[in-house]
Amino acid sequence: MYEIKKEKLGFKEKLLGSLGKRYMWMKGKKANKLLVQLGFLYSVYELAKLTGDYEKALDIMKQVGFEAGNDLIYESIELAKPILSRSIEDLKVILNSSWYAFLGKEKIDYFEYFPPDENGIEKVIWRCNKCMLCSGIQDDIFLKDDFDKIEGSFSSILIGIFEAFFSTVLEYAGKSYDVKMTETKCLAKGDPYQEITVIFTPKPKDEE
Amino acid sequence: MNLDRKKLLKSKVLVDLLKLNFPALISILLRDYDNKTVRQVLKNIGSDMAESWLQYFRPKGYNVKLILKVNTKKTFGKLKMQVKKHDDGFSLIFYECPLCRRDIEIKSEVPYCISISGFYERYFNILASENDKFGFKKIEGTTIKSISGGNNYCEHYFKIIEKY
Repeated sequence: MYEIKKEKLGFKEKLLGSLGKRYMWMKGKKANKLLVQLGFLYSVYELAKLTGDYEKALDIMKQVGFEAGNDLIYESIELAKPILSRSIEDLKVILNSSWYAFLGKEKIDYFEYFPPDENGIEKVIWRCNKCMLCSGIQDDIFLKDDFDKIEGSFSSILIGIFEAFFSTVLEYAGKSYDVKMTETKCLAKGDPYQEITVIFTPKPKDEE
Repeated sequence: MNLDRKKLLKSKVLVDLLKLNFPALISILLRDYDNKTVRQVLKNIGSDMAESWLQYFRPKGYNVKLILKVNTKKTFGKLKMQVKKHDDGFSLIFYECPLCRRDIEIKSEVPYCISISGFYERYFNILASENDKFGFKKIEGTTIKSISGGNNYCEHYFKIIEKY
């Protein structure tokens, strides 16, 4: 298994990440953004019809994101190696790069890293002023009647993907953490931005 | 202020987001549900997408071949595709499928691109209900070949089940 040895990313690696994301976006095959959004939303809608419960549907979509994210990171590890380090703070580089590479001109508007507290727990918060996943959801022909009743996050697929990304990167760094990611603010629910909070809790030694 | 859907319609994302979504979804659902149920869920997703998509992007005219080409270009860009006419319907063939991958080792029992047949079944049934020049009232879509199932190309067959 590949092992990350670099402790922190330097200017050169960050620059490489910035160039790499543009290259990936330029070279990759594209699909219409609205179509992709509808694909995700109606996956949730049909899963809710199947399971009888939106919460279960959103959980399945998170699992879908996690499995898809795992596949993606294992496939692109060679490409990602130069921008990986053992520092949780540097996950910002992989987040920014993959965000741009997948979504084009959409960007992370705010990112903050919180160093380890007395229990060794580290935290990351990021915010986006625009979110393709919940755009127009209040007027959606299938979801408008259910939307107010749904408590979970429609970003569950995204959460799954990045939980997989971050867990795998930390695994390659030989760090044993529980990674828990939640959407703490949502544009469709009236918040001024989308906010994702990630908690990195060190696993007890006997669980490693 | 969030993005509105008209802006989304004019923007693009990497197709890999969908290409990874459906295989993972199919594999997770097959752990708890039978093949027939999973196929129906995937077709329903495509069908819902078509109904919503038509609110934002409607084709002109009633030439099925032209509509399929224009809509494919809008949804997935330029792809190597073909539309074949049959006595009882038509087929949409993708030599380069937007949802399947050629590099997978295990053949999928549910085609990764099955939602495309659900999409165009609903899409043309809506359009045909508004315009009798299509020559049919109702079609039924089936994915009969898929790259994810080990075929060289994907074929979605649309059978006319009700004529004007």
